[in-house]
Amino acid sequence: MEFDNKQRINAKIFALLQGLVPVEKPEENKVVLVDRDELMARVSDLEGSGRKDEAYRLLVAAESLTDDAFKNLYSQMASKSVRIRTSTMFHLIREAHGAQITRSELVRQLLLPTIIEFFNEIRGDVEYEKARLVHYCIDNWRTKRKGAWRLSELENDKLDEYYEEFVRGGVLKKHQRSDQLKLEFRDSTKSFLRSLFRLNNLDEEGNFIYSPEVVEKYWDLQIDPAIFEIEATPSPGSLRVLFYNNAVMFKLKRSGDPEDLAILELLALERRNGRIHNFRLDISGLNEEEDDILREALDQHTSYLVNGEGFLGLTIKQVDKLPEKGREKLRQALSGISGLFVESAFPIVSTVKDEDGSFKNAPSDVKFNRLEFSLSLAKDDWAFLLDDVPIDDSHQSDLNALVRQKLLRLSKYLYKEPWAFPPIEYETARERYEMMVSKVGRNHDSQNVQKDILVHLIYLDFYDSISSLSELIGAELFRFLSGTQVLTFTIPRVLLAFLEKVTSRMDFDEVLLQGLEKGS
Amino acid sequence: MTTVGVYVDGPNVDRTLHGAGEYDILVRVGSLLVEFAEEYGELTEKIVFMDHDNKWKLRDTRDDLEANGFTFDLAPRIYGKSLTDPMMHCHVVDRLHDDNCPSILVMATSDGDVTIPLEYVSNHSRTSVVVGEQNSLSRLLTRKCTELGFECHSFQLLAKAR
Repeated sequence: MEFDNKQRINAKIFALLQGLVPVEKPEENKVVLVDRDELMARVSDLEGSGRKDEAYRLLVAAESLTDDAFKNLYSQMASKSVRIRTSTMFHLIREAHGAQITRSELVRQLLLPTIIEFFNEIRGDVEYEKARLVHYCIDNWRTKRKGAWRLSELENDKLDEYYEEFVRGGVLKKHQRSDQLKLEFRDSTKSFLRSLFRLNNLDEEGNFIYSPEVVEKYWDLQIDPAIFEIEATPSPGSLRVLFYNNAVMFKLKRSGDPEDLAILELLALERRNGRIHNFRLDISGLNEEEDDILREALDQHTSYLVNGEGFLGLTIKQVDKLPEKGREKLRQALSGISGLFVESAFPIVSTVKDEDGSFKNAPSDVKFNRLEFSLSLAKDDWAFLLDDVPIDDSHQSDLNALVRQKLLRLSKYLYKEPWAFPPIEYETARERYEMMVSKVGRNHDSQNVQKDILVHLIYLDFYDSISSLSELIGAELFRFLSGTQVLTFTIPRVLLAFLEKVTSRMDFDEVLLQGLEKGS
Repeated sequence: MTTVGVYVDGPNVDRTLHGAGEYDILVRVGSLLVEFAEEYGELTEKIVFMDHDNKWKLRDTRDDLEANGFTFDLAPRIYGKSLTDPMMHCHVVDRLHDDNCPSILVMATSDGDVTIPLEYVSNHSRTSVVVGEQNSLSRLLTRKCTELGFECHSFQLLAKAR
């Protein structure tokens, strides 16, 4: 029997079991097992050729193979980490959850037949007492945990394992913070949200609520909302992708640029009376004094009394739009402050506006900051199916199209008028944009045309951001689902030696999948 | 001569072996640990860390530990919280700075929290050997032992082989 040089301990275990001696062959990066007669012949050869030190080392190594050495190795437990395909891990978690056992217990059940089969092949060469001990080791490892999980007695890390395996049903997760994401992804996500914001910056008549230049500058200053998290839950078979934080907090400090004041005005007006659909924010001054100035400016002209059904026959009516005098007063106040703390949330959806102007709850199956898919395994080759789209090289464009469809559906509920989404189809927007661009040079009512050009550019940017983001998310999904996961388990050291011998000639995924197929 | 210290997380060993139904091991855990640790060298220290109000699941466990020369370090409870673990970990880390610190520190526990003192042991160029109840040994703990090159043993297999 031969072993790779890195598997000296495995070689030692087999040698101890079979009464052989491990001899290193450094020129071949191998360790081979030889019997005592062959060992003595080698020692003799080495001594004969003057290599007495090597001969001595061989003898010392042979002498160390005692019963005590075996006992020490026998009682050791080892940790083994292997990379398996994500689809195999998904399969494991699903089966474990279905059988109401932990993943560790399932892994033991799947590996044991292979280990036992291997041991039976070599058993004839193993001393009786040692074979008996190996059988005990196998039976002990096979046996499920005696007694139920008693939560009150579990240590913290076992509690985490319990929670992950039984309460959550086991999930496969990948999480990346904004600073871990590629710039392209961060830009694309911000571009998508910015496009939605710009779409919602148009009122019912198609006019800008706030200056598009100021909106643009605000988004340039806002911190990156992008994150990336994939969570695949094998039971019940779903996958979700979170790709942005809709709530961010940041500080805006005026730099002397006149546009800074315009941004502060936009935020103050929105705080006072939000007009951008699905946008919520709170602002405060950078210190107590400035906060007082801000509060006073925001509280002016907020409401007035009219005849109604309230106390003394009066009703409070909210002022939708700040009169020009109030707006001037607001600008004066803002020019006296150095900046703002901003807590903003976009998009945030709790209700959806209906065509008749009423509001109703957003559909429960639409989550505004995530994309959701069904996830399953094809029966013939255990490859992933995401909403029935196979995850393989030849279906990459189908995957991107699926993500695009999801992004569009999400956008519908983030748009100010979901029943009227999309406001315009891409091709129509492009045709109109090109036609209007050609008109500008001929001086045809150029101011209105310029506004319309900008509006159509916003539509085109929206579609471009969807295309770009769907490709990036599609690529990440593909990488995750066609990639690998690390499986770590604890196993008696002796059994690990057997397992590593088996997996030197067989893929680890195949060992597990064979076991799963036999069990199903 | 290699010196060896044995440090036992009393509540953990008691609870895990009893929970696993390994009563025959539990009643002679002291003897087993001494026999095992002596294979590595001269035993210079044997301590059981336990709660001051600890009630052993089996009376014989304590008797066996006492008979094998273990001393008992009692940890207080503060607002119902046992301080056995931090007491044991602090003792081990403290010993690492002593001239007569054992070369090998045998830790009888299955608790993953002990991975922190194991890092200290490694950084102080000492060796640790962990012994725990087979099914309670945390994945984190066995992985850490593998990373640091420390042995990790199962009580059940230890008892079977000796």
